[in-house]
Amino acid sequence: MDSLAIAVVEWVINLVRAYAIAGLVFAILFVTLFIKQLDSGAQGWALGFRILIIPGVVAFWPMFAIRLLRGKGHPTEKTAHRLAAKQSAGAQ
Amino acid sequence: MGVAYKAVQWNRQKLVYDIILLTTVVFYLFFFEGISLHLSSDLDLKGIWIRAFGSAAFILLHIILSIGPLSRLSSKFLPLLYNRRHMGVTMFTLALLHARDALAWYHDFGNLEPIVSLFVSNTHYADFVRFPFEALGGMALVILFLMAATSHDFWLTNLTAPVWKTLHMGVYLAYGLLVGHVVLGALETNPHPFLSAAVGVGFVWIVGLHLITALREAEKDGVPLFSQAIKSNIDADGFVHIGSVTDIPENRAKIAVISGERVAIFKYDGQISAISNVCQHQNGPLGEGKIVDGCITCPWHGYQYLPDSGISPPPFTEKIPTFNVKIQGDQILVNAIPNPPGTPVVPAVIGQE
Repeated sequence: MDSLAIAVVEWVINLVRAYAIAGLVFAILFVTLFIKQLDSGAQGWALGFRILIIPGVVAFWPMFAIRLLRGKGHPTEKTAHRLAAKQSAGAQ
Repeated sequence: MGVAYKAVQWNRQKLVYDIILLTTVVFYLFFFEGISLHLSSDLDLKGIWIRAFGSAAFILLHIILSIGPLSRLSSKFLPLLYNRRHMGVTMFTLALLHARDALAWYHDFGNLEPIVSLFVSNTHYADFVRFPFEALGGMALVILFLMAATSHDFWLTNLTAPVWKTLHMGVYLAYGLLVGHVVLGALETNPHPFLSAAVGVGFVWIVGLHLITALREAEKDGVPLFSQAIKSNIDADGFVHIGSVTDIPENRAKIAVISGERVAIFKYDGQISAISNVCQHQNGPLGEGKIVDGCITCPWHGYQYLPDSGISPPPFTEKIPTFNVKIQGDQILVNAIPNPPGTPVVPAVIGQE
């Protein structure tokens, strides 16, 4: 077997593992302590909901970490009409 | 959202949907096992279940990909769209079980970790016929994971619907990868004409259905793919001529493209109001819904908005852009520039200029 290929694949898999472990630590802290700061929909202690979003938070944890550091909530969607309305309001 | 998130917002429809879905999947898996053992009794049970999980996921993916365009072509398919996310998560689970068992069956021996063995046991990446189909399946599984992991409404809010939809469009890339995975894997080891024909028919069905739907949607928007676009009829005051009030049934809408997006022009209680056609939940087509209890109701998941303000009734907090409307004779005119989301607009009264 190609030893270079093995080394590259092992390195990539270890990188993904490190990202996922860091994400899991962040996700557990996020769903227990910080989620309400970013999303007012996370009211109460709905355990099933918090467990359900952990895999996604593990995948996208840098996005939430940056939002927490910047003190920002969730964004509003950008559609053609929202952008046109914003542009029009700004021009007035 | 204005209400607290739950793991699943259960209702009767979702329960019935999930019971039918899971019963069908379990029936298929055992039917596959029974048929396989009947055809060849010396087959290993583990190998049969790897194929059962994989084929169930692949068939379910075809159904999932068909629901969107079928719902565009006929509202009869909307009930299937309602809880498609649970179908997606079920499909990912089947694919994961297929991958887990295949890893254990084909790669859990020797000195290498199974996941490393998967990617290095066949390194003919430059050879079409001997291309490592396992890697294609692995990449598809990553996409399906991202979709399943972000299927809760929390993700629609935190990624926003357009970004969420773009991420979930990855399903088409996953489908392409899985067609390659099946053609270079299962069909090469088992070149039965029936299997090849089934995969081919499935591919033609998915591509054909999407093409037909895209052509029809383009025609509806006045931008047909194979002829000249219909120009918007904007007057000197910046209003777009939509058509006659008689064109719109009571409590329903006419859809027109204004300012680069579809607008839903609703007729109700002798009045006309116009709002952006894009539901804030999953960007569903509001203009294909109807007014229920005084609210515009999205045909996809029932999200509601007041027609004269684009605001969801309390406790919900969604807001969508509105449009100024006027009526001349029986002709409806809608301002080409949208108002900021949630801006109240006095409805145009029919028969009163």
